[in-house]
Amino acid sequence: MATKKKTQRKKTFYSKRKICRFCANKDQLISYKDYNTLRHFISERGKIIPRRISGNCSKHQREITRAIKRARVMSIMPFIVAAS
Amino acid sequence: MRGYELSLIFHADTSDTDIATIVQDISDLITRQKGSVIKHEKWGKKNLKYPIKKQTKGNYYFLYFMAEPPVLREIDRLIRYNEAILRSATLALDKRISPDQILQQSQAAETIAVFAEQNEDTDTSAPNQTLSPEA
Repeated sequence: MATKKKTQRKKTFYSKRKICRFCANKDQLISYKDYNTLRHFISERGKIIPRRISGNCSKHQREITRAIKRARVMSIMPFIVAAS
Repeated sequence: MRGYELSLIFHADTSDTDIATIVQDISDLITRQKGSVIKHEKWGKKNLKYPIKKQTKGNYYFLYFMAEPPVLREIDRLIRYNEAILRSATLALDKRISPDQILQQSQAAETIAVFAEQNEDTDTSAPNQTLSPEA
């Protein structure tokens, strides 16, 4: 009866392919001490931003993740940011 | 022989001379075990992103060195029982970077400057001092 087929919905999503900024700039190395770079890859709550949003390639996302986790241990980055 | 990076957070009340003695002990240990210290890096007092041992501030110090892996355990022994050290971490250096490059790296200075900006009440004396191993 109420079988509306989902196949009818044909939305096309346009998305620009994001370019990994670390692939674009090979000289830039990722370090856990580099707060100013890592800062762009965490949310307001201090969570690591996923690759789908940050646009990093998998290799560099791994490096970023590792760097953020190391920075957290040394209190350079927060584990959590309390809600304001 | 491998490259390592030792990062230390000292208690904010630790005097510079105390820090220098501790660091000297560590570098003595490294050189005694046929290793070599590549570079010292001081960030000075920074606000911690979360309290460690009820402290909201810490004094950051980084030491780059070459050493045989067993030396790390002895360094750890030195650090572990020192109450002036809030937190420490020893990491293997990126193999893509040679020791010479680390010495040359001064672009880290800008990073540190920005990091200092966000911690308004930091030591204004010297945000980044890169010392030669013998200094």
